[in-house]
Amino acid sequence: MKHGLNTGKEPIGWSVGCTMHGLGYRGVHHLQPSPLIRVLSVFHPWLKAVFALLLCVSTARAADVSYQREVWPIFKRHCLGCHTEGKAKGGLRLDDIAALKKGGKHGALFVAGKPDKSLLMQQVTGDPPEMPENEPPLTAEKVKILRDWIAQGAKIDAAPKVERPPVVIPATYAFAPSVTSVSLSPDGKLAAVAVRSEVVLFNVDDDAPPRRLATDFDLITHVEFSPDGKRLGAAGGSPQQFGGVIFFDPADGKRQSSRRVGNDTLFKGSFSPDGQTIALGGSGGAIHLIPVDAKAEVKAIDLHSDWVMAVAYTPDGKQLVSGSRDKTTKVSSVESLKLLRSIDQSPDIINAVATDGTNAISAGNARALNGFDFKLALAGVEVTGSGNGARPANNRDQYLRAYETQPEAVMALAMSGDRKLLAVTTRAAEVRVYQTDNRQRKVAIAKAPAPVQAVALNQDGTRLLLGSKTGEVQVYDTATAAAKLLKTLVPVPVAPARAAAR
Amino acid sequence: MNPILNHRNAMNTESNKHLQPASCPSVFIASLWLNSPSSRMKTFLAVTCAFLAALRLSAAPAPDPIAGDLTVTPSSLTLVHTERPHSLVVMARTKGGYDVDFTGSATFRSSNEKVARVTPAGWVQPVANGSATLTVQASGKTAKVSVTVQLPAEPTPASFRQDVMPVLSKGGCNMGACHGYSLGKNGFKLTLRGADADKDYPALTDEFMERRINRHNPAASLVLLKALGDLPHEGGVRFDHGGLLHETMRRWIAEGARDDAPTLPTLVSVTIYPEKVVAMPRARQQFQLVAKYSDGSLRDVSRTGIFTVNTERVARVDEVGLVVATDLGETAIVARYEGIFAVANFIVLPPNKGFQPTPVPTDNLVDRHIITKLNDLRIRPSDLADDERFLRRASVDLIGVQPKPEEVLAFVADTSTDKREKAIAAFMKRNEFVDWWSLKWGDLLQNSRNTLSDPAVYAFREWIRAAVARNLPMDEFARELLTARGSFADHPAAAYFAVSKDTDDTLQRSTQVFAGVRMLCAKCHPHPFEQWTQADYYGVHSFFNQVATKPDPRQTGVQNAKTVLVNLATGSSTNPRTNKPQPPRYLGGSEPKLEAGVDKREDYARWLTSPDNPHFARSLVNRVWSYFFHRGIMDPVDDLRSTSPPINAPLLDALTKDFVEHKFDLRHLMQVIVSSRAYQRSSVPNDTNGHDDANFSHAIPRRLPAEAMLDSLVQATGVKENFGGAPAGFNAAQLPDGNVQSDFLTLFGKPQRMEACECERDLGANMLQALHFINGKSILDRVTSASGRPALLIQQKLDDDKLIEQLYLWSLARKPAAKEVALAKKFMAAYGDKRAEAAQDFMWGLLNSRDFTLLH
Repeated sequence: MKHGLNTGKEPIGWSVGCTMHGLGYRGVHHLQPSPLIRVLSVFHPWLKAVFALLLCVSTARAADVSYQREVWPIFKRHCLGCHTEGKAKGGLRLDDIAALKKGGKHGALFVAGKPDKSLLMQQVTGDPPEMPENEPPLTAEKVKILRDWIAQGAKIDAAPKVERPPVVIPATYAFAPSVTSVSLSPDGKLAAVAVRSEVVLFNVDDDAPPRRLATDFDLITHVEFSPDGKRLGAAGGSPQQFGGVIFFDPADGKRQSSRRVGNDTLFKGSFSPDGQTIALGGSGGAIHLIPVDAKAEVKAIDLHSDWVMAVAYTPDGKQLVSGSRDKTTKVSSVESLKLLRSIDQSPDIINAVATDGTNAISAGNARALNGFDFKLALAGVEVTGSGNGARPANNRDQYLRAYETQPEAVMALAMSGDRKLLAVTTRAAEVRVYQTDNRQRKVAIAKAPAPVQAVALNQDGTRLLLGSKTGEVQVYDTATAAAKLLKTLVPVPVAPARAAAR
Repeated sequence: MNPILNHRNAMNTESNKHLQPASCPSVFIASLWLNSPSSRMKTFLAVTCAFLAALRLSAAPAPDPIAGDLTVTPSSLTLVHTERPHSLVVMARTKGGYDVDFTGSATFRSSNEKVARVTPAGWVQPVANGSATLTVQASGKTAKVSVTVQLPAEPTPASFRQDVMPVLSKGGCNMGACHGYSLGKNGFKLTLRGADADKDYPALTDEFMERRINRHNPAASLVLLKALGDLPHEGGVRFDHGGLLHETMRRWIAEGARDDAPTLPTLVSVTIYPEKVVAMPRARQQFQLVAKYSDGSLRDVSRTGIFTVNTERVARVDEVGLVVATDLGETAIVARYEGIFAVANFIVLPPNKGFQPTPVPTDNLVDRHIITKLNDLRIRPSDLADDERFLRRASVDLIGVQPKPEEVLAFVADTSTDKREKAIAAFMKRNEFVDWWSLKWGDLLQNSRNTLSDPAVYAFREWIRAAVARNLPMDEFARELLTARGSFADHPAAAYFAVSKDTDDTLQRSTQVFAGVRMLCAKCHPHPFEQWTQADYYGVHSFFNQVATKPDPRQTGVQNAKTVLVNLATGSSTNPRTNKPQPPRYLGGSEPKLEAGVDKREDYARWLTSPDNPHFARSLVNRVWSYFFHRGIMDPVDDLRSTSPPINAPLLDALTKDFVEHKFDLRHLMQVIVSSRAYQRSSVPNDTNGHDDANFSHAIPRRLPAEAMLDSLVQATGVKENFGGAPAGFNAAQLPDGNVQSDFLTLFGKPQRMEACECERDLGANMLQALHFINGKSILDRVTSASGRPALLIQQKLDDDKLIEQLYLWSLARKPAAKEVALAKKFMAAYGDKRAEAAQDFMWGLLNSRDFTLLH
């Protein structure tokens, strides 16, 4: 019970009032009268009883507000769109207790015990309220919950529970899972294919049962054997949650190490020629250089303005070619971690890149398959814009080495180990292999299961492995122009179930 | 627990709440009473309780019992899909003629729960094949519904187009502000409002290695996690966990996120029930939306339809089609489902406290339909305006300037019973009538030196004036205009086409002016408010695509000199959505077979002006109506659509029919309108019509248009205005276009003629106008001028009464009332012998009053 001036805003009278009610009003003289009670005492006793009961009834039901059960759902539903880790408008995050207590750009969000001095209450009330921005205002009940919570001291009774469904890998699939990435071991004996959340390893030359390696990623985007064949990298993540890479030992399927990077999946990339680093595209426009050594730090090259869809090391390991959803192809330096040149602007998204050291190659939805002569493209400098638009001094026409236009959007590119052959897959059924020196077509596979999303070549380009959205994986002998289908399989068990009733 | 049925279960309808006894205060007082020791307190409490109870009783409305039986819709039902229950709407009508909705409070029982179950909210869920009878009880009455369940042997899988696309619309995913935006949001793009399922399917299921859905772990699908708000989503929480939208999409993903077979039945129509409701204040009404497919099947889509209310003052509607009446009046309830609209009419009437309907006149078709509607709404019209106010209103509306004092006095003194009719006919014979209506057409046709040469503007103006002067029938007017070609020397009306930038411009301008529709939106996607598609847009485009303008070789060096050419060889325009040619198609109609090598505009103009064309006469009649009232019968007048229905359809239909029967005679139409009692009503409301701003029960005051205000000001003060950019001696109504220097006219909203929209003319009021009147030169210089009216009147050495009367007559076109004379005399007396100054100040005051700036 408080002494001093009753501002009328705090429920100070209730304890006194209820006591009065309980005792009738005979007991009032034993209590320290607040000014309110002193004023009331001049009135008739029955009037005091009415007032007291009114106060009692109106305030007694304010039971303690639970942050976890009542306040957090309000934040989650109305505020987290803009005030969360990925996007913290006004510097304010509400999805983390420490950040909540710290506040944002305009200071602390609330003053414990003082709702009227609290920024939160000021923002959600008013005519019209500032927050939630561009949304209907909070209902009076929700505003009251927040007000009561602050008034009661803004206590956090428990951390909010955020439920994210776990990764589920069916033993048997109801629908053949789409193949997102494939890789051949350097000796050409082992094939690795990625289907949704697992990697499947199988022998190219025999029919031994495939081995399945589970990951904790919702989606694997890239799988690749290291140049020495001793490691298998699987990259991907869970969309809008985290990205990561896991290194497996292909011999026994055991995990060697894993790293998490960023808050969205990683995209395609490549091992460095020395096999110590894997470079992968990130959703924030950066290339992430992730060392195999779990203790070494991850480096990033901030490059593009949208997702980096694919990255390739040059054979000398000194430069990276990257293609992005921002429709550009860029070359950057491994040592300086900086952009060297933006060498191409395509009309559409770039899906895949490759390089043989002489040319950088990129292709995407615009159907063009383009090579760019490194020497000419990187000669001279012409910085435009804010610096991120460093353009080659040479005219694009001078360093462009275009291949023939592809029939559909290009999905994947793969270099043979010796960099002499380039495999190209599109949404169409035809898969082609080109010679990188003269850009002539060498091999054509007329009818692969379309759309072919992933392709890999062995060291000398005599074996081609492809994976399709249909779930099929095929191995071809591509030694001659007329490729021979050696193997076709769906790498995981599939038993079409009845349509799920619920 | 079936989430599908939870939606309406959660609605705690309170349709009978007003019949419940007062709750909290009585209980509170009762508890006090029991606890109080003093008998005096007991007495006080007893009195308080009785008082409160009495209050409650007196607030309850007089009982209006149900007449007849309950109507349950549908009365019989066949269910063929486990995931598609059907709702029941339970209604009855009271003796007083109100519709009452019992859906929220009725009880429902199934005779065989193994065949069909029904929820407390009236949703019927199929369980197994067979028949059952549902018993519905409300308000002591019973009704029965027969249900047949015919489920296929295999459960029907979820369909992308029939199930998921509506979810994307209902969840707001494909709104223009979100993923329906032309560039998408955050890399995810859907077609606007579900325009193209063929494009939306790969966006959801294919892009970026299928990251948005996971068929093998549906709950982990990105698209679900974001819509649920379980992952940060700037668009907010769109699905509730376990709710209908969430479950529909999750199930579809779990079943493999399959595309539809090409044989999937397509959506054909959507109907809303009930189509018309007459409700009590504070009533609640549940609406039901039923879709029909090309295989004849019916489906209740109330929970995925999108409901809106046109007049928010009258009612509001929630997510599942429950409407609550909030005020007296009328509104359309508009439901949208997969690009098809359905509209219901919702009227909220006051309680019938002995309303006496007005006898329906038969002598004027306008009054006949207006009074019929007013009687339905329990509104009595106000009295007719007095002679002076009628004359001023008709004068400004017909000839663009208020009457002079001698006209006013003569009219008031005239004792003939048909003097108002005669005045209307006389106005139509005046030169000013031609000025005023030529000005109007000049605005609509955008005659302007911005786009046309000087000689072309004046030639076009003369052509319009000649048409108005001889009362050229409107169908001929439109046909001549729409088929003109050449330069102004060949045909002045060819200027109409010379104004356009390109065919799109011509199409949009001409459909807005001659059909009253806004086609612009349909250029790129299905129209958001009406059933126009790009096929309709490019169908009209193909009528006008032969026209091109080029500089006139006979007028080299003349700015903007153009000639209009018609290339008869031009084929059909291409619809960019299909990349195929779109043959000429009548707006909302069929595609005629036209010979090659003809001017396609002729066929279009013939179709447009034929007597049964649904657009031309109707939109023109509605537009002309709006020039004499504060709004059209449909509003806005150049954005006509089924989602904005007419406030009085029989009136519009009758006027249109009459207009066509009189061979599109514009003067006849005006005469019918202006001679009606509806037009001549006073603006003073009575006790029944104060809330009515839509049914013409009383005149709503409106501001004088810019030119009328200026010309009236000039006439009242006798001081002319000089307009830069126009021939000397022209008054405001005679100006050739908007390219004149006049701050006054700009301030009061004279259109620049850059748009075909009626809205280009601003008839609103704002602070700048008020300040200009108070401080600006327009009035001040005029009243203080040595040749101004006050000076002229002072020279006549009139006595106080005559002077005051003349000042009122000149300024406000009426005589002052006795109180006003007394006030004015006191005002004059205060100036002593500075009589001239007093007269100036007084006239200044009159011209600044609302009596001058408004028609009322």
